[in-house]
Amino acid sequence: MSYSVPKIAGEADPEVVGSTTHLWPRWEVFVRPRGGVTHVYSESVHAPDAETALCNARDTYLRRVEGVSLWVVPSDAIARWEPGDDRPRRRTEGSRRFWEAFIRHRRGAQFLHAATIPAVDEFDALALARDTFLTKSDGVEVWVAPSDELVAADPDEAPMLFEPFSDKHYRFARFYDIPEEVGHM
Amino acid sequence: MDGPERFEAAIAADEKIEPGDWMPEGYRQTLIRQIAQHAHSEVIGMQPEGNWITRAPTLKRKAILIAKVQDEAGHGLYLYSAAETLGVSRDELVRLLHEGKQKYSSIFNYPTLTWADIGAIGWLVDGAAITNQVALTRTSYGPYARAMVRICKEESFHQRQGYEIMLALCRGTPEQKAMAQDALDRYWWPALMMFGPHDSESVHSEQSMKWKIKRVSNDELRQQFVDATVPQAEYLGLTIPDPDLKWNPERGHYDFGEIDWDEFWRVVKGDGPMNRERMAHKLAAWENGAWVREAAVAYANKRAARSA
Amino acid sequence: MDTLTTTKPLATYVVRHADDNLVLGQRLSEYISWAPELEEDLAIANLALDHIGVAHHLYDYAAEVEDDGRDADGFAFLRDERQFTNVQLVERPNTDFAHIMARQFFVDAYQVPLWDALARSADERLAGIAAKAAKEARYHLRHSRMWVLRLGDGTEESHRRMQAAIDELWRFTGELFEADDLTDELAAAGIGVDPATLEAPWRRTVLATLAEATLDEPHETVMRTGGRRGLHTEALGHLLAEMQFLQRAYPGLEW
Repeated sequence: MSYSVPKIAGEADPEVVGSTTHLWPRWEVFVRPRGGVTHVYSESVHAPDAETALCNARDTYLRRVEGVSLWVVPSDAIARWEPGDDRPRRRTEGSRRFWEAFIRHRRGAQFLHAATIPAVDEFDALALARDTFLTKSDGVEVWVAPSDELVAADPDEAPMLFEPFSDKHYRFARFYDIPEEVGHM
Repeated sequence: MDGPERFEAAIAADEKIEPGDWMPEGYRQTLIRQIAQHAHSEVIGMQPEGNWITRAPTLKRKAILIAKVQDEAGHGLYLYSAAETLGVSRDELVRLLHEGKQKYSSIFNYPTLTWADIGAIGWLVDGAAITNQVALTRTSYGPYARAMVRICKEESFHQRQGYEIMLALCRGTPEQKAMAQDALDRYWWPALMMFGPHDSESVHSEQSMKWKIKRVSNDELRQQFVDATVPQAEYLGLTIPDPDLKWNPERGHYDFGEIDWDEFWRVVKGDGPMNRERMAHKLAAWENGAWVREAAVAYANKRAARSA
Repeated sequence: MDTLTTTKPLATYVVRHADDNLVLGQRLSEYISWAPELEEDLAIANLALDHIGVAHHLYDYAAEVEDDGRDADGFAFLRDERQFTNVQLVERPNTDFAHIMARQFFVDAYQVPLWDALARSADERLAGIAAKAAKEARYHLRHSRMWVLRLGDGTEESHRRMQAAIDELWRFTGELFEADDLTDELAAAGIGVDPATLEAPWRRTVLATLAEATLDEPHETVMRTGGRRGLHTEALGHLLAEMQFLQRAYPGLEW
């Protein structure tokens, strides 16, 4: 549903100071859709730990059999780049680890997983991802997260994670018999 | 281009504003307020319908109603998630709701007294909400627009299940039909109130339209809803409780009577039939859950300490 | 008083399991909008939908087997307390989140081996319903076990509450493994499962989890019984009165 709440004349809005603390940390959720080749960003959940985060993501974002694979990444582990930020620089010295790179290719689009890339640190990873996956004309945002921070649902558990939603037909409009005369609904 | 220029250009070109973009503080505050109150509405909206889950008349209706109330929890969650991209936490927004500093839609301050109310809510309240939200899928803030697209897709069944309940009642016994009429009588005007004050009275509409947060005006949306709903009521054989309601061939729209704005503001300001009960329920659930939320954090900390 | 569910053994057997799932689903559905976090409200609603869905499939099948005009809703909404044959465990109230999760955990640890066994039933319809339910139960167990661990080994308060819930509900678990003439007959025919065979896997799951959660195995040894014969705790009558209200107040209507 969508709701608007009228504002009472003369009543001040509370000051939203921008407190970002949360008892349960935020986890970013990525789902590979049926027939899809890549994981797509699917908003977030709050959870006290990785195991709970996977369950919460499953119970929240897969209720209509949307996906066949599920990842969660702690929001705190993600480094972000957008145009104008000149911190990312390639580095050649230092030992490398693996990072997961996610790209928002244009305004309004969702983040897509681009690749797993080797990099020395978050700025190196952001620079590599930006230079590899963005062209000048597109791409408005890059995220990278250390690969070992990403938690993936075990593929062997796919039947219990994804299949139970497949017979809940009442979640779809076509389940309901509405006469045509009453118009689109 | 610097930040403000890029912002204006994106708005003018109907492009989305994304979380990393520069945005005016007023834009950010307006969005936080609107998305948070939208999220609060979804979550409080679980209560009136939840009131009939345990009494749903068939196994099928019970499952449908649970799925619908669950969607409302999910939609609250998606919206809080979108609000968080503006630099405020869900805990903070929930606190503002609990302290009465942010509100939720007044429609949920009316009680659900019979099973027909579940039909009327799906048909009218979701119908009104859908009219508004289809416009919002084009809102200028990317995360809000994407949440609305997801919500619209999921909600395609909400209004239909409500209308199906009304159809079953209106095809049933005279007693069932009377139940349906009573629900329409009680929910018609509150549903019209959901679109908010007249455009001329609306405190924050103009700036929101300019920023393309809001895309269609209150009165325009209300008219769309009335035009779509009147034939649906006729099909059911129910009477809309408005003596002034009639088709106006010149305008190509239905004319309808004036909303009782005293009631409207009374409910907005906290004195509707169920305002206190809704907040008491929400607060009790939150307080009862504190030890669970804390235990989960304590467990996570112990595990992290052990593996360190 | 007629306490027979139906005259056909297979239907009676199927209805027992349907009743377990309906009553548990109904209990879970009471809790929606009362969970500690929004994410958990979604999880609880999924549990309720799974259990009510399984109940619906099983009642449909029982109605077909019985074949005397009664449908799934007839089983759910038009039988009295003495005709419900669920185990008492599932009707126990939502005392707090610890009780809800303890009840769920005990049921899940039983239903995983139950559905696995019934998925091999000689009765194809029952096997099909069980195979699907087995996938759901595996996830339910993942979820409830997760909470038993977190509450058991969380804070002092959560530990105390979780232990209290385990202790309180323990005496309702013996009934899950009780055999009677009906289960003997259906197990012998390769259709049903001997409930006694489910106890060992249940104990393995439960005891390992309690130990990991720093919870003690309850000392209680006297087990409650009677649910399968329609003898219940006082909690069930209220649950049914609420659930059946519309069908009882307006008999025979379409909704």
